[in-house]
This record gives sequence, structure tokens and C-alpha cells, in this order.
Amino acid sequence: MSQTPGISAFPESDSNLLQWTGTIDGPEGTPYEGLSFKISLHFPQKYPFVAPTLKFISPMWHPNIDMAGNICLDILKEKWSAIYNVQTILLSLQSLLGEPNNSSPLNAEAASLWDRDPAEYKRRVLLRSHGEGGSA
Amino acid sequence: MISAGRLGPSAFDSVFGEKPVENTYFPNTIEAVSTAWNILAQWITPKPDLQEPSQEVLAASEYLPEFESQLMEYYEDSIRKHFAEHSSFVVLNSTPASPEEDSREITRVAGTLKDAQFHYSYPLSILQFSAFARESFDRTFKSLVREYIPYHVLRVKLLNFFQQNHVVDQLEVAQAVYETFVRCGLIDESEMILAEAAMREVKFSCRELYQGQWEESVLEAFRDYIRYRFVPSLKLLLLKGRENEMKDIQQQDEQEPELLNFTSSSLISITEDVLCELRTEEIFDIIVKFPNSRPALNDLKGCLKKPAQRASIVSTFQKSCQKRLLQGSVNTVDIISAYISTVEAFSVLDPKGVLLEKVSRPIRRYLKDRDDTISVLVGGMLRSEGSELEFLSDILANTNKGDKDMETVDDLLDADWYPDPIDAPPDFMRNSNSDMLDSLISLYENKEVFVKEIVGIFADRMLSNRNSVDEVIANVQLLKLRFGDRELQNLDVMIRDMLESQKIETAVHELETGTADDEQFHATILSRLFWPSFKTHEINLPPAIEEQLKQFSGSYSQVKKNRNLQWLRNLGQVTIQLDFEDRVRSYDVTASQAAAISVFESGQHTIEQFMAALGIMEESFASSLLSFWVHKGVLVKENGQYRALERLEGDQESAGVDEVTVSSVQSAEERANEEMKVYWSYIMGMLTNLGATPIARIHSFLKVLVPAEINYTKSEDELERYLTLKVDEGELDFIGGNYKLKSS
Repeated sequence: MSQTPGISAFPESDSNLLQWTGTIDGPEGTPYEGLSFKISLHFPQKYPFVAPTLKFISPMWHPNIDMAGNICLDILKEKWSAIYNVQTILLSLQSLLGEPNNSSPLNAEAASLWDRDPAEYKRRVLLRSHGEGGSA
Repeated sequence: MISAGRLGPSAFDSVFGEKPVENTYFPNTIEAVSTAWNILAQWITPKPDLQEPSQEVLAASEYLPEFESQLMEYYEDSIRKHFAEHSSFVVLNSTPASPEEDSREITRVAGTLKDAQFHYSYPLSILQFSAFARESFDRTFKSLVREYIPYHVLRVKLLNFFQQNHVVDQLEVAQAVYETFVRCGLIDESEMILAEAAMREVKFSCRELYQGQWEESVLEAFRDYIRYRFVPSLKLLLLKGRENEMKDIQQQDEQEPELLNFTSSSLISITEDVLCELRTEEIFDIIVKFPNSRPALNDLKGCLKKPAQRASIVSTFQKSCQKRLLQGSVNTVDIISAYISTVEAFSVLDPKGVLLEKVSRPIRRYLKDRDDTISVLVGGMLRSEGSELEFLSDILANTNKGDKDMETVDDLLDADWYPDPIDAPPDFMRNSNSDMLDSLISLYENKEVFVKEIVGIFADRMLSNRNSVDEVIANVQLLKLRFGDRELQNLDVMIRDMLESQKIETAVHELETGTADDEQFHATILSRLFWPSFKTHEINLPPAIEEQLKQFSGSYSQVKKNRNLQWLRNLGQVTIQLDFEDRVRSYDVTASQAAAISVFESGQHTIEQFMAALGIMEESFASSLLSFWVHKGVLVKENGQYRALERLEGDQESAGVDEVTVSSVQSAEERANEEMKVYWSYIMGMLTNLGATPIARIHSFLKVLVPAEINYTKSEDELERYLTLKVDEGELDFIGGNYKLKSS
């Protein structure tokens, strides 16, 4: 429902508007370029006073995202504010892809490869994305 | 009960007074009685010819009292035998036959029966039988007849007979046959059949006399016919039939009026029902012929007594509508006319409007679904060229200016109040103060659709003819009374634009040339937000005109600071003069058409070259321009090339088809697609995230998710049309009932 290119989200059914599916295109100039990721968004009853729960459905290899797709992003946790909406959340998530926070990684291997070996990093991203969820 | 002893020979003395007391032929002995029996029995047995009684027979009959009952028994037996032997003459053919054959047969059988009765009763009329013997004979004969003529066959035949021989016109024939059957003992049967025939006859003559005669009232005439012609004839028949019987009965004075009154009053009372039935059958045609058929409707109203009859009118009319009116092949104008007649006719029939409410519902529903209903209605209202509903504009002109407030009349204050008919639905509301136009406008829940159409038509008119503004202003005042001020606000701005344009134009010309007048070039400046959206076609106008446009724009920006003009090139009007080798013609055409013909000042072109020359992107637009000039007899198409027709051969010029005026306002379809664009981003979002989705799901999603300010009001069909368009445009794929985004 967003006009911003590269990100969009939509409710999964017209009967339950608390469960959405989102899509993020990998930002250009990052290892995720040309890939597109599906995310599930679950809005609690108290939304927007409580942050929605986001999770990658597509296989993802990233320092701040674990193998189950859980995301470590401050605005979804302690820094949540009711002024964020679906568009801003997805935009933050999109920028997280290009600018990981390597100081508190969920995926330590990714964090270490990010600076050390960009080529290998990209290979692992692609492997994970195309490997249908097989472990890297 | 009669014993021979009581009626001895002495009794005969008084009868045959002149006869000698002593019988000369037969002395009163056993032998004599026996001889007399033999003679009488021989004479009495039915024979082909009737024989005068001989002296011998007459003499023998003096002994009759001695053995009367036995002789009757013998006679009745021989009648039965004789009747059985000759029954083929009276047996009615029970296989169905034509009314004419039946009628002939019944006449013949009646004749035979009459003869038989005469024949068989002959001996009784000659010889002195006792009353008891006569009665016994009567009974025997009647039971014989009843045995050989079963009721159900007689009924069919007699009904056909009466149909052929109306009691009014063929009274004597009918009477002869009827009487015979009554005399032969079938009085109850005959009366029943005659009553049935009379009922049929009433219905039949109603149909015969008045079918299709709607332009004068016939109810009174019909009633008179029944009362003064039909019933008297019938009475005559019935009385004849009862004649014998009534002689026997003492109180015939009472009997007679009772029987006849019943017959005549019941026949008169069914006349109304019968006429009602006929008119109900004809109701659809009567309504189509309204107002000429008003008398027929008044008759029908007079006959309408029972709720069942009202219901029957409704259902008959609805059935005819489905079959004859609400069909795709029927012209919208005709349906609207029929609807108008229906409304008017049913308010004659039932001023309360209960019936109207019932019959008009299907027509209204159907009209609402028709695509061109609105444009036909608005066309009539605004007196568009070629509209067949121009009288709507008269209604519009007669709009009552202050009456709207008086609309609600309190039932309690209404002196003429009477309750709603019994078949009125509980939510029935009478809206008496509205006229036909209101009723038509109320086909649609909101007036917006009308307003859109009206604005479109006015936009077209004002743009094609700058002088029509005054007429538009007059109409707008009337329309505002119908549709409300607010809805038509855009029109005010449009009119103001038109008026302002002339002022601005003067100012610009003054700036350019110092004089206020320029007959050559006019510009109309529109406030884009308030006009309907226009079809825009990219087209390059001839350089001379483009130059003028540019100049005008420049001057305009000087007159009105900070404003820019955006030219709608294809909407311009141009008067051009074409010089051919053999003729000079001038045309009032649109700017696009003028530009199109200017291309052909030099040689011939294919359609591609033509499009390139004018910078036209859409081929359909290009070919519509070309065909316009081909129809005018200015261009010809040869081998895929168009060229100007410099010399006319034959009557090529007039061969052109009538020009079809194409509205510059977007068609309903284009507008629908335009409106759909708002939802496209939602559809995109949905398909991006949810993948392939069936149309029902897309539709229900849009209904739930599109915010109220945008408001999703389309139907699933409209959505499907739009999505199909998107598939055609290559933005979507339609696979297995699901729509999905085309993967890039």
C-alpha cells in the first residue's frame, strides 16, 4: 500500500487486518541488490502503542537477523514509538540491510565477514537466498 | 292402484255416450277381453308408420280398463326394444368434433327424439289411457333417453350448439332444440348446460364486442347488452322449458320471478368480472397506447373490486413486461416511454399508487442497469438534438418553484383521506407531489450520475458554440431546483469561465494589436478543476495556428500574472475553406480535423505518414480524423494511401455518411478506467505481497481497505473489466483464475 518504490506491504486477508505481508527489495549497492524478501508483520491489539512483530519469511543471511528470520532492530524493541507506521518500519528495515549494526550481531559469522570479505559475504547471501533455506 | 273393477264398462258409457250399451263385437266375456288385448297389443306395437286406429281397435279399446296396466307394461317393453333397435339415430358421437358438426348432430338428434316422442305417445293420445298410464309412459321414455344420451356427451355437444346458435341472434333455433331436450326429460341437465353456455356466451360476446376497443368506455354498454338483450332471450328459453312443470305447480307466481331474477342478476354481476378479465389480459397494450386508452382504464377501474383482480393485473403486466419490454433488443427510449405511460396509466387505475409501486419496480430496476438510460434521459431533459424524449424538457421548464415545502400533507388534515388499499405493503409511502421527472431521477439513489452527464453535455455545448451560454444559464436555474444548488456548482464556474473568456480575450487582443476586436481568433479559458476531464490527443496544429497560440499565451501571461495557458488543441473549432480544382467548400470543423486536412495540401500519405506529420500517437484517433474527411467526400483512400479528391466524379460528395458528432468529453468507459486508476496502487500492493489472487478476493480487499475518502464503490464486473484491460496492457497476468503481476 505504499508509494515508496522497493517496499510494500498488504494485509494477508480482509478478515484479519492484524496480519500483513510485506516485501522489501534489496537496496542497490549492497550485497542484497536484486533480491526481494518477504516479511510477515503481526500487529498486536495495542498497536500502535506496542511495536508490531516482524519476521523474515524469505531465507535471510544478515548480521542482525537470525536463521529463523527474527530481527534485532532497536525501533522494534526499546525505541518503538507510536509515530512509526508500516512504511517507516519497512524503510528502516531496508536501510538495515545496507547498514548492519555489527556491534550486537545475531549472526556473528555474517558480522565478521561484512568487513573482512565482502565477496564471500555476498556469496553466502546468495547461497542462503537461493538455497531454499539450507544451512549455510 | 287402478283396479279394473272400479272402472267397469259402465264408466265408458258416459265417455262414449252415443255408443250402444251392449258391445256388438265383443260381448263382455273372457274371450272378448282376450281378443281385445290381442287387437290392441298388435296395434300399439311400434311400427314404421303410424296407423289410424280401425273400428276394431277403437272397439277393443273399450276393454282397456280391464288390462290397462298390463298393456302399458307390454307397450313399454316394446318401446324399449324398438328404441334399442333404432338407438343409432339418437346416440351422440362421443368423439370430439368441430362445433359446427356438433351443432348439426345435436339438431338432428333433437329432431329424431322429437319424432320418437311423438311416435311413441301417439297411441296414448288416441286411446283413453288413464293419467297413471301416461305418467308411466313419460317416465319410461325419459329414462330411455337419459340412458342413451349421457350427460357429459350432451354437455359438450350442447355447449357447442349454443356457441353456434347464440340465444340472442338464433333464438328460435336454440329454443327448438332446447325445448326438445327439456321435453324428453333432460330438463335439469339442459338447464345446467344452458347456464354454463350463458356464462360462456357473456365472456365470448365481451371479447367479441370489445376486444381492443380502448378508446371509449364500454362498461355501461356491455351491461346494457347483457341486461336488455341477452338476459331476456335467456329468460324466454328458460321459461319455455319450465312451462309444463309450472302448470302443475300452484305457486308459479313465486317460482317464476325467483328463477329468472337469480339468472339475470348473476349474469349481470359477472359482466364486470368478465370485462375485468379481458382488460387485464390486454393491460400491457392498453398501457402502451395510453393516453388514448384512458376510457378502457376507467372501465377497468370500475370493475376492479377484488384484491385477487388487482394482483392479477400486476402479475399479468409484469409478465408482459418481461417478455416484451425488458429485453436487450428494445430501445431505451421506448422503455422510458413505456415506463412513463405505466406511471400515468396506473395512477388513473389506482390513484393511491400501490399497484404502480408494484409494477414499476422491475422496470425501474432494469432501466437502472441500462448503460444509456442516463444519457437518454438527460438528452431529453436538455433537448439534445435527435432526442425522442423532448417533452422532458417541458416538464423541466414547468418545475414548480416553491412547492417543494408543501410536499407533506398530514393525513389528519386531509378531508378526502381514505385508507390505503388492502394490498399495500406495510412500508408503502405515497409520494404524490412528485412529477414524472422526479420519478425518473429517483431511478438512481444519488443524483450525482445525472449531474455528471449534465455537466458533460453543457461542456460540449458551450465549447462547440460559444453563444449557447445564455441557454445554458436558463437551464441551470431550472436544474438547480431539481438537483440542488451545491451539486451544480461546477456549472456556475463553467459559465463564469465562458463569460470571463470573452473579457480576457478582449484584454489580450488590446494588448497585442491595440484594438479590442479580432474576428479571426478566439480563446476560451477554462478552469481545469471544474470542467469534466477531456480526451486529450497529442496533435501538432499547422504552424500558423501554433504561432497564434503561442502569441496569445504570451499576452495572456501578461494580462494575468503568474498564470499559464495549457492549450487543449483538439477541442478547438475552426472554420476552413478548401479550394479544390473544381470547387470551393467551407467547413466548420474541430482543430484536429482542420490540422488533418492541412496535411493533404501536399500529395498523398499513408496513415503512418499522416500520424508522423501531426505527431499523433494513437492510430484510432488518426483513422477517425481521416474517415471524417473521407465521409465528407474530401479525401479518398486508394491502395492504403489517402489523397485529396480534387475533382468530384458523380455524387461522391453526398455519398458521405452523416457525420457522427463525437463528444470531446470522455466516454463513460474511459471515465471508469480513469476512476479505477486510484485503486491501482492498492491492487499493485496486494499482488506484490500476496502473489496470484482471484478477483473475488481483490474485490473484497478493496472494499475493506480503501479509505473512506477515496471510497471504493465499483462492482466486481467493473473491476474485472479494468483488470482485463491491465492484462491487455501487459501489466498483469491472468493465470488459472488468478491475477498476478507480470514478473519483470
